Amino acid sequence: MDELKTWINTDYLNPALLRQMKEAYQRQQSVQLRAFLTASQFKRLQRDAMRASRTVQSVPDMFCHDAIKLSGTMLSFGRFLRSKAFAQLLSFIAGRKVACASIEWQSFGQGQYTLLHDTLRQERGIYLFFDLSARWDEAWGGYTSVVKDGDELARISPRANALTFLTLKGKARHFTKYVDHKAGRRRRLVLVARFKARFK
Amino acid sequence: MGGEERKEENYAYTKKYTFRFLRHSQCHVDAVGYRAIRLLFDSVISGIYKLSLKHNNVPPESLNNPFSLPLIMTLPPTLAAWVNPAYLHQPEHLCRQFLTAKPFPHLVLRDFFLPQKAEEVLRALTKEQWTPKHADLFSFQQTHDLQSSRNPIMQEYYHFFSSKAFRDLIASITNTHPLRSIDAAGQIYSSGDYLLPHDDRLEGRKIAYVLNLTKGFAARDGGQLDFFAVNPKTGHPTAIVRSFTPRFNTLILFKVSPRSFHQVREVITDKQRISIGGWFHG
Repeated sequence: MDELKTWINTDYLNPALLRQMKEAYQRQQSVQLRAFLTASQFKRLQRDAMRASRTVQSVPDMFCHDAIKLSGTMLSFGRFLRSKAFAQLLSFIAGRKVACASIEWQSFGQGQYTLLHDTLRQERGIYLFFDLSARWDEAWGGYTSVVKDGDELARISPRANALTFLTLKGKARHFTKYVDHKAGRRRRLVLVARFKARFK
Repeated sequence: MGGEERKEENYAYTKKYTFRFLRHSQCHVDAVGYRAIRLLFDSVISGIYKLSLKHNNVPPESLNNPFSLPLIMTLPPTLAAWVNPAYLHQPEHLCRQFLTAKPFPHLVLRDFFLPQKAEEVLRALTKEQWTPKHADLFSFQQTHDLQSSRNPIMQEYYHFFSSKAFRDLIASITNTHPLRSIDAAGQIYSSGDYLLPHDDRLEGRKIAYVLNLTKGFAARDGGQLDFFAVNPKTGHPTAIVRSFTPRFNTLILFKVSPRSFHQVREVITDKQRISIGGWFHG
């Protein structure tokens, strides 16, 4: 519990609220928790992420974004997401045992995107998106869209210190919408993690 | 009153109709005969009509729906009535250019249509109904397939572009035989719109085309059609190696293949990029 309190806004650790989150997740298969980290941890994380060096990663018919070189608070936040304490918390909300499979920090600026490539099958699991981007306008693109058979099931608009987790299984897949020139020099900074879970 | 009605009925029943034919010949028939002759006449005219439409590649399904028939009978379109004559006399030369172009077979035909035709098509296209389209791959506005346009100019354009004469010309230029049918839809790219890299492959698509009708675009405005080089080991596109700034009345043709990766770069001006695009199917 101490480890959770070090990172997570303690309001979310209230047992009554946890039960509500569990019910909401089981009903909708997705939940967004705003102001998720404590203000001080979020500030440190945002500062380190902004300073981190980036390299463009591009296979033009699949994706184009920057990968971020991890340092300082970003590394320790990654360790926290892989911790037993966080897995237990997520397992409680999801109602099934989960284990962290991958964590990736991505940065999307003007002209960057990910695509639903024909040959790529989205791995099923519980996906977690944690955003660092402040004052983002969805009209610029850059949001995460979850689609199935051409229909949009959910959209995650970049919002600083918001954690969204959702179940992706079957034909559901996600992509990051192209960021257009109206975003100027702003970037969306997002952590995408996948947790393995057993589905029926 | 009743007597008058009966008189009218009798009159209608016994009314004689006169058909005049040739110069001085005529015959008199009653109402039954009149209906028979009209039926025969309509069948003959309808047959000629349908043959004419088939000749002009109007799809068979529209022949079954009398309401979709054009109101005016048209003669088979001629290439000379539409295409810049410079492109009608050297198909072998154009074919060599097409086949040897890098990074994959393509051809850029500037001032492709006669100027008046291009202007008419542009005016008609802007009056079509436009629908915003958004997906992971693109953001733009599009028309329905132009085959269903009700605008006579657009119908005439589609009629020509899908005609056998025109398909044969494109087949000769691209050395792709036969080209049996086409798709055609208008696209408008406004500020922030784009089409991300893809290869266009789908069953039956042989030759992709873009008829650009954009005016006043410069390189700084975006909207370029970009062609990518492909990594032969992975089959994925790598870098942009050819770029075409939108230019009015320019037809770009390229062969659809696993190497035909292309994109439309984001438009970064308040002007609109307008074009008609689609595929020739084999």
